[in-house]
Amino acid sequence: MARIIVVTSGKGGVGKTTTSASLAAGLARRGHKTAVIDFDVGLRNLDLIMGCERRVVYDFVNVINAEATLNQALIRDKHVTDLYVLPASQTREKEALTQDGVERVLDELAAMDFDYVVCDSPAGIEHGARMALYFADEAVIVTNPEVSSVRDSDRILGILQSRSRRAERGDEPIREHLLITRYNPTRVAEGQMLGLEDIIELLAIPSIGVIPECASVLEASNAGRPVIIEEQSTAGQAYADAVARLLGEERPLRFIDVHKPGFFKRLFGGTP
Amino acid sequence: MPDSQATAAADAGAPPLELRGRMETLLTLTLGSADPQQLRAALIDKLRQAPDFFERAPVILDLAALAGQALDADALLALIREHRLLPVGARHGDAAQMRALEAAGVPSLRALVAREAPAGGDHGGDRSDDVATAAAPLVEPPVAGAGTPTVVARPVRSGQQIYARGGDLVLLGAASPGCELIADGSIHVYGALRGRALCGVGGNRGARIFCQNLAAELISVAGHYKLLDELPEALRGQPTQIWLDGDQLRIELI
Repeated sequence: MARIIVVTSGKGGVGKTTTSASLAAGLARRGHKTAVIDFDVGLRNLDLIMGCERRVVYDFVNVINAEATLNQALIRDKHVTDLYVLPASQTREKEALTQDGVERVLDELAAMDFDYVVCDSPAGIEHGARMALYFADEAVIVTNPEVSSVRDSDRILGILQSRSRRAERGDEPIREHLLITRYNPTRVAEGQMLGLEDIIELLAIPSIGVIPECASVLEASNAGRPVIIEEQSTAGQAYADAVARLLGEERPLRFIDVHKPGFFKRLFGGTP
Repeated sequence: MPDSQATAAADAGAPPLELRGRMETLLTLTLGSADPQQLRAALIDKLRQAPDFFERAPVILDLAALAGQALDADALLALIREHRLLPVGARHGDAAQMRALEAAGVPSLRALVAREAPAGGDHGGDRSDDVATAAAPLVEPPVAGAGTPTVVARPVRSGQQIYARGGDLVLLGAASPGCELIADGSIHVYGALRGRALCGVGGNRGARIFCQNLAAELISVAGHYKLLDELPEALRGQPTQIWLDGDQLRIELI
């Protein structure tokens, strides 16, 4: 049975799509057959970040409307084996996602022996976001270290606990994981950003990782590669840790302390 | 695999149909008048206080106060639906009223009334989970026996509302900014209180708010309220109790 993971946040621009791409790639690299679905119908960003935008023929809405088969619409990733992308439609409205249609696609992916299905949620708490989270078994709440993002994450946690299929059926609740992105320890130390402990205290859910603010994230998305593939980058390593924790492994937190400049840098300035 | 639907059902071990007696929490709309004009004015007034919380909320109509009065069921339902409430049942009406509402598609809940009293009593620990996971944004536990507290073990999130009807509300977790805790009795919060807390909403002036960490956006006792900005700096983040002394809202360290 495929495990369905929704990547959601409420607020826009916090890194949901970047996170969806990296978590899906990370799970696939760990040997789990994984599909990542773009629920942001009308905007369509995931295919750009995964670098498959020129190979999109059919999309999620085509499959829901039975205009294409799932096999025709799924795009095999060229960097990672066992990773498939189901892109969003750019020409439809979010209402094109029907609950029955989404369920049918998820069931079909399960029947194709996928281990994980990562659902990249659109921002907001409207129909598209509700559809992305409705069938979830686990949720990764992407939060930036600032108050409005934390508030929206709190709101989406309330929706997960009341409007999901698991909540409606009275099943075991969705497993919630906090992922803090764009974390800048220097700015936290200067009081410009919320600290890790503050965010965890406010949201009261366990964390699967902290992704530091890192130039490699933008470089990787411009190049159409999930940043987790960039093994030298701090963000890539932090995502690899988050995937390990998602799979139940223990990893110490990294990249959360202020980087102290070395002796020579302090003495001469500039790059060491 | 032959059929994805069937496969999913088999994997989950779930039969295609299941009938379970689940306690759902619903709003009750108590009608004090059968006059459409009066009802309309009262509904507009009531919904203006919190327009979004009641958006498309399922409600049960309580007709106890209308015994023997003529009731135009269709007009009543149209009025309620016009204000974006969804009547899902009715109770405490006389036989003619219940027949009229049933004919208009709103079932009578007479059968449930008898079960309610014992359910409130022996509910104990189970209820907290029901309250926290109920679907509607406004969470109202079924009428409990007087003095039965509503215990919520999970954090109350932004946008969620908990109403402890007829008794105290005990929250073991935190109350996030943007949430609402409402009780006819007192409110006890063992996590941080960051949202709104309104106790004694039925007019009980003896109700109090007790909290470990006062950071509430708004506190209110029997309609007398204060906003966060009006709270003395020295009391913020502190364990405090809040009560009504005459017409004066008092806040003190515990």
